Amino acid sequence: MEDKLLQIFAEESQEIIETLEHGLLELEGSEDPEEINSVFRAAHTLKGNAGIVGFDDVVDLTHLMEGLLDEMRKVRMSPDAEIVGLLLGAVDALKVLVMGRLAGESPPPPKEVMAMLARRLGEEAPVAAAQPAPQPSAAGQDTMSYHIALRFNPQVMQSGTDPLQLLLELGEMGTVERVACHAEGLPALEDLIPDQLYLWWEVWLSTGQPQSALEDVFIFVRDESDISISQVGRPAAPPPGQPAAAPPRQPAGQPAQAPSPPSAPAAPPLAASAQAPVAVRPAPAKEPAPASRAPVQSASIRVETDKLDKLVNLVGELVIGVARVNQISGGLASPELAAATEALDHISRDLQEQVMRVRMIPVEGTFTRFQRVVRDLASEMGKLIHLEMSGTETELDKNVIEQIADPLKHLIRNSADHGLEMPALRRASGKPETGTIWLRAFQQEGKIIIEVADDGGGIDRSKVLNKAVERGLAPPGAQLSDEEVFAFMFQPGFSTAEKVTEVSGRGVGLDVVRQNIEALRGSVEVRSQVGQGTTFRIKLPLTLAIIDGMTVSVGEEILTIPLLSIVESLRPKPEELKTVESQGELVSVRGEYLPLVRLHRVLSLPTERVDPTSALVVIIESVARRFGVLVDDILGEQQAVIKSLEQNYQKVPGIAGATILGDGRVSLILDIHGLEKLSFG
Amino acid sequence: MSKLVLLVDDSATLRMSVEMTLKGAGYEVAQAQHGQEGLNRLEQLHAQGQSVDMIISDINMPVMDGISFIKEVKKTSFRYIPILVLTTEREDSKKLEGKKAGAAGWLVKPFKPETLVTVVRKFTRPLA
Repeated sequence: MEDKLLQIFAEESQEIIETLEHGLLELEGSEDPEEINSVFRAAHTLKGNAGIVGFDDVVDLTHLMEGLLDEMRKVRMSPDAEIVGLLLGAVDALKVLVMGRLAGESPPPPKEVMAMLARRLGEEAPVAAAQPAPQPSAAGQDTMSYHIALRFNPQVMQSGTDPLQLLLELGEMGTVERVACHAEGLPALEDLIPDQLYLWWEVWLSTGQPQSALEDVFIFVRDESDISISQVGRPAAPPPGQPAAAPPRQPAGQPAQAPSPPSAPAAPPLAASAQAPVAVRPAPAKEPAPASRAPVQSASIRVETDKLDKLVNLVGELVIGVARVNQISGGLASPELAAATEALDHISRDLQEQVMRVRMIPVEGTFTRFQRVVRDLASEMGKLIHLEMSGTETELDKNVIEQIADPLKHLIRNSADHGLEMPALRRASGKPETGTIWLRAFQQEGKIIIEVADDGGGIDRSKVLNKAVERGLAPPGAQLSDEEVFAFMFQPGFSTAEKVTEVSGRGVGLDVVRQNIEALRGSVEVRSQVGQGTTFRIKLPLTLAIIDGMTVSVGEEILTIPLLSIVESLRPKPEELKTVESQGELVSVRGEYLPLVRLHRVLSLPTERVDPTSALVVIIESVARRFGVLVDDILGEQQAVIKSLEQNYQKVPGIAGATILGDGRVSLILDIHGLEKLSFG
Repeated sequence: MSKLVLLVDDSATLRMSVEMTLKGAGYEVAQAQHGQEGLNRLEQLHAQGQSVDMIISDINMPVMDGISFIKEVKKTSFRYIPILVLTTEREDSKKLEGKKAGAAGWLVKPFKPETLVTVVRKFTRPLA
């Protein structure tokens, strides 16, 4: 149980901290009350949550943050850069604290940050979080007698409070000696308002509880009601010598003779008439309907990703099953059956699309996190950087989003460090001092494109080429296109940075970026113009669960090649094939020689069609190179629902997974990056 | 039959903790993340033939805050369901505002599980 609570706390804290960070960045220089309110709410909620799980240091820190934000909310302070910076620092400290506490450690409290926050708040020292009020101790008291007069607010029932329950609760506090109910205010039936209270009570009670415990029974009503509790002495029965508190001798419910309430001079004129109380307290005024100013927020529920994955898998199976039915019905020549299966096919595809969409989330959350990254980088490097984002509503598979964050961060750091120039240099070259980094997302031809662009100095082509030649990646004097030259930057250990900075230029980086993106079955390319800037363009599949594939045959096997990597396919003529000692077999495509990979050999599949001139070569393009893949035949294009081999069998080099074809057969999906490794090392 | 409490709060952690406490004390708990959802939940539960015995609501929530929520509830046939508002020491004025809007009581955060149960019992005591 506790674990479950901590897990929810952990998840929610992460979201809240992101909201805080993002909100604070938006806040700088803005006075949008809704924005301030939402940041305040985030701090407030986190404080409450930390209190629940008992992370007192988190409570203390968020308490101070909340205090500052409250000042802003009340427009007594404005969110200038200094305060925002201070609060961002506090968010950092918060992350450390929360992570530490969740890991079961007790990280030292961030005294410095807290002192700064407190100073800003005008408080002497960090204030400890409010503790719950101490419970009054109940035991060990002598028995006392009390007289309690209860004149509830006539409207008390409208708040849902039931006076009878309070009487019962009072009764449980001790021994009730006597109760008198005064019904003299009760109007004639036709004048009676059902949710109005016309009665009042006197209770004589002897109890060992302190008076405060009796008062607590009425804690929620005492402000608006007249509750008087007075001690009448030790004896169990009310003493006759105290006329003020003497119980009425008549049985309750006989109005005229009831004594006037002596102990309550300020009693409301309850007995006057039925209308009187109504006049005293007007009915609650009608309020205008709220929610008009409410921020757009889609209602959502939290679902474990496991459940979603199962759903996606099941729907995948369904689509395959329907495809089989389709195929079978095609051979039966029954128009009715054909129409029915076609309709079924449509529905199952719609269902699949919808289920896939469930896994899709907007890139906004990831993008906005980079605002902070850019802000920190700028101050670290003494540059002026503006981050411009667009297409934040673009949706991507949750898994893809999680895995693309790191490569994106790297590219952004790269742009900030290598791309953008120092302000003085920018001014000298006639550019605005503030450099811009664009982060764009959009959908194009069934792919998601994410671009990281800057208006910096651009990439020096000759520098990259020289370095490539130096490292033996390109022959001296090679005639290469810009694209080919820039592709060298994605080679392991390749860096043209003149000095290694804290941020980038250690030579680890772009190759890792490429690997990460290829692992997502995406690709990355660079365009750059000296003096104008650089653009990294990442292409990603909409989802990881489905690929557009081309099915090919090799011997008895049917393999699926991701369509994204295929450039063309051809049947080479004998004169277009060459064998070169050091590079193996090559195939010439319009004058360009590309290495030829024999799939049957790499994957050890027996086949008769080993002569390329009677088989087919599929030209594949990866980031590093183009190459030809020899297959027996091309069967067609098909959407494939990927089933992981790792989960069901084990990882196989060169194979990304398996899919089930319409006729029920299994087809292995090629992993282009893995195939490259197998073939070229 | 166990009593049903509708809990309206935007903090999942708080909801989980209150749910655990109340379930442990024998209550059923329905949840909503904000006032608007709370209103919908009331209607929904009513349509399913379930009656809510008590509402516990936070004040500061997105979309529809606790005060507006209470005011809205008071306009409906659910107006006699006692509403307990959750406040913090910073929200003293809110406490009064909540009372004015028609809340039956309040609980100051953070609170002990026992306190919560005591207070909830106060409003859901069986008549007998």
